[in-house]
Amino acid sequence: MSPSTASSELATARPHLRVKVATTRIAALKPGSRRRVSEQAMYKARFRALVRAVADGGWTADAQGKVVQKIPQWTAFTGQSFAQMRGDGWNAALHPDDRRRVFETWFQAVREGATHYETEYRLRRRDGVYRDVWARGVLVLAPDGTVREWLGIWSDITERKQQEEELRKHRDGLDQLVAARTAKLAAAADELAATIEELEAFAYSISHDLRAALRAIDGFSRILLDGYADKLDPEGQRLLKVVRDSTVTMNRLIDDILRLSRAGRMEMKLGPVDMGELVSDVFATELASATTGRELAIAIGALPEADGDAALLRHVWLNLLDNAIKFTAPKPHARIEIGSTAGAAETVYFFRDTGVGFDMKYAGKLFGVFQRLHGSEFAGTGVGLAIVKRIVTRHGGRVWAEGKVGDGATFFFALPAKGSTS
Amino acid sequence: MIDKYERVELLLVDDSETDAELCMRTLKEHHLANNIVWVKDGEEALDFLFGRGKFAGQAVENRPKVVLLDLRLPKVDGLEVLTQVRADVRLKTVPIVVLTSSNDDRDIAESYRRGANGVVSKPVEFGEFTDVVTKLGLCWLLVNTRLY
Repeated sequence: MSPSTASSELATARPHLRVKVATTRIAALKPGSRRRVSEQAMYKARFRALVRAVADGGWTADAQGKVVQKIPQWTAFTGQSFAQMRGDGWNAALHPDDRRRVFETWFQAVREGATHYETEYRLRRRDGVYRDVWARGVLVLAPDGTVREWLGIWSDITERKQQEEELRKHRDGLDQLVAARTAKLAAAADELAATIEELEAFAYSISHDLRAALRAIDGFSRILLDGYADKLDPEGQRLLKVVRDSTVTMNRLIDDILRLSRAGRMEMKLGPVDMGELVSDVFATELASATTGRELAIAIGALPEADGDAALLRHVWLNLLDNAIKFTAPKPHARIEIGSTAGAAETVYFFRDTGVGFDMKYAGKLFGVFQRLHGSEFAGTGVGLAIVKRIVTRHGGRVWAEGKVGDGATFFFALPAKGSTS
Repeated sequence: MIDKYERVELLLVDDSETDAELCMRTLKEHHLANNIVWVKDGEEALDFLFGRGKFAGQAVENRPKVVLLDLRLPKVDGLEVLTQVRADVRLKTVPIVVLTSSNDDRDIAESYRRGANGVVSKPVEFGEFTDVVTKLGLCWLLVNTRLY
């Protein structure tokens, strides 16, 4: 055996290397000097060491697939004597359920001259315990190309198999856990969807039934005023007017509840939104009519493009503008300033006014539904900023405000920066 | 029996008594409709139009000039009334205006899809309400040319 063929053998014997050495030709050894013999002995010793290094044992079989040489490790493991294992006798040490399969695949490999053979089976240890064994072998050709023999290794892989089984159990357990959690989440999502649907039905019913009731209150008090005016003194007429005014307020409340509900459930159509254009548009259509005869300075800074739903974001600006127009009304000269600061993770837009401001003590209440920090001198139901918050939150952003009584307010909303994953 | 329904001009389908009263009062005050039939649910509306149930004897061909139909109704809702009426070859062309408290986009779209001739939202403020009802009466009872 020359060194080069020995290294080929080495590569073949280590399955994890998966070196494709199909067959190995053993150089014909000329009977020679003592030096040659000792060299040969050394190779033999090294070869055995190599086998022990990679496996529990080696094996050989002749070209017909019969065991013709002692396999000491096999005998030690199974207790089978050479007489018992020679020829096809080794097969008797296998688990009865594995014998036929292993035999068939083995002789198929032998018959077909397969370049390599690999299998797993349960092997009875001498104490009677079956162990999982992995075996692998390669065909060795003689210099003339005929099959010389089979060389192989075998190993007890019981522990490895048990670990694999453990792992599999853990993985299955994990899968089950994930499945259970997923099912739980899905159930929660269904429940939430059902709740939202209920709320929608509630909002619908509000819009229908409450409006009908309001129409009746307003209509019949109006009929009373028209038809029975002569029977009512001025105070009676005033009282009826209070009734009718209240229906107007209540109708506005209903409208706002519906607007809020819609802001929450409207399907989002995401895309790039030119905030500068959006703000100009909102100002162009909403500002003029609301501020006739007022002195209002407006400064709009650069506004970066946002990722979002243009229709919903329009409502954000619209509600902020309404808010600013409303709370700057008592001031003779008012100023509105809009701008932004772009960060890596989010873009912050701000809306500043020089209106009546608010006490920071109540800043947390500003964005709550039906929360009002001002009395009836300012119109509104306290839903505008709640809508702002709901829309911004749906975009994955946040809202906050700063202010001082009598000294204006600044409303901020931050949206995830374009292209950021949050 | 037939005489009783002969001159029906308007069928009002509304489960709200107050809405119905305000509506009929307005129409009568403006002398827009003399013979109004008011029913309180979708089943009665279909009974009237198809001449069955307590309206047996009313000829299907004797159709009102217009039906004012609310959407949210007991038993059979307004959208279902629309569907059944439009599926009948004799009633396919009867003018139906949906008059509803809802201003939900989906209701409006669905009403048109099922063949409503118009959709009108009931204003809450009485002045606006009478204005809308008066205009509807003028349009469908006086201005509009009926099919037969």
